[in-house]
Amino acid sequence: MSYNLSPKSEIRNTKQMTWRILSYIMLVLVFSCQNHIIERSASEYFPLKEGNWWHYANNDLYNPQVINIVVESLDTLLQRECYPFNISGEFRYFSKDQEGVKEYIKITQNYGGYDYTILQGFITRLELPLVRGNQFSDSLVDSLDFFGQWIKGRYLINGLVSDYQNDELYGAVYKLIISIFQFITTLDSTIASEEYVEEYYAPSIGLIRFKNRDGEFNLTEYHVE
Amino acid sequence: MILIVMFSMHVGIEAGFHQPVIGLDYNLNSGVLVKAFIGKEDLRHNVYLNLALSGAYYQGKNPGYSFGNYGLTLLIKKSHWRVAPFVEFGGDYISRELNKNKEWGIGFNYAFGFSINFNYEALNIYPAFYYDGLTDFKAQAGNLGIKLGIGYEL
Repeated sequence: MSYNLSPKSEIRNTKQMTWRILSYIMLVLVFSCQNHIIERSASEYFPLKEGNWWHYANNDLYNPQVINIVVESLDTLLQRECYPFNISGEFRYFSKDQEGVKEYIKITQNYGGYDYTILQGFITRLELPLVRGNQFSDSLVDSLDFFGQWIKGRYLINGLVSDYQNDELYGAVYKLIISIFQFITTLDSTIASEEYVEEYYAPSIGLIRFKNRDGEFNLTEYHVE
Repeated sequence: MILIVMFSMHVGIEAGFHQPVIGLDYNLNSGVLVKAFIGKEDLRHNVYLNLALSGAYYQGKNPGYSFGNYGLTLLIKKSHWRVAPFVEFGGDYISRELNKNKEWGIGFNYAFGFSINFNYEALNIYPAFYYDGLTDFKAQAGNLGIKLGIGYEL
């Protein structure tokens, strides 16, 4: 058996190798364009910054509603820095840590014209980063001695990142299903409430759509820094 | 022929540290890199061409989260210079996991930087400093990297 080691044959081999490498790269490009794993891994799904705002509207022709959310300047609650979200005049407070987004919850009961705080604290609202299939759960429990009678409060959140879809306009959008339960228990009664919310989060924008007991709302305008 | 090819080839391993700087820094602390390569110098003795298998693993800021990319890359590095620039590119299998829930995909990996070469007979030892990028052609992510490599000329 003989081998040709001439420069021409080496050049031919080099060309073949170059074609193989280019083919490999093309293959990678084709697969890369479909999955968008980097977009999902390297994007901010809950951009929390003062001045950000989002406007939402429902699709109900007979009862049109608009919800405006504005992030106000940083505040401190229970020794924790958080951002007030002005949601059409109603305030909710959110902060972010390494495990996700926390929301400030306060449950009060009115007796004789006075509001008594049964429980307050920060609860996990979203576990970050968003990964399909992830389930999270958090709860707050506290009680109040009300003139010798104990009143117990419990607030519970269960969340599921059910899926993501590549949207032409918004990119890789995650769908979350969130259940919220609230219980206030006295010696002779329990007041319970529950709420189911569907939320859709887009990269570098945040919440783009949600469904709750008031209907379905879609993002109409936004400003995110 | 096989002997000639083998004698002009080199093999080596690299280990390094990645600090996420673009995109990945939202959710990741830092990563480690391990790479094995086999390569050859071109006919005009200008550059080394290395084919490498690599794996990088990152720990998330959320303790339940991790990110990894594993791939095949081609590295082109200037040969016979003390401070040698290089570029590298290829495809990566990328996976990320939160509380045992996993997502995966394919991405394009690229890197550029320079290495400082120290040679002792057939042995080449080098620290390298570089930028390591990942893209799916819709979004970008990247790390600053430092690695130490050992190569051996066969």
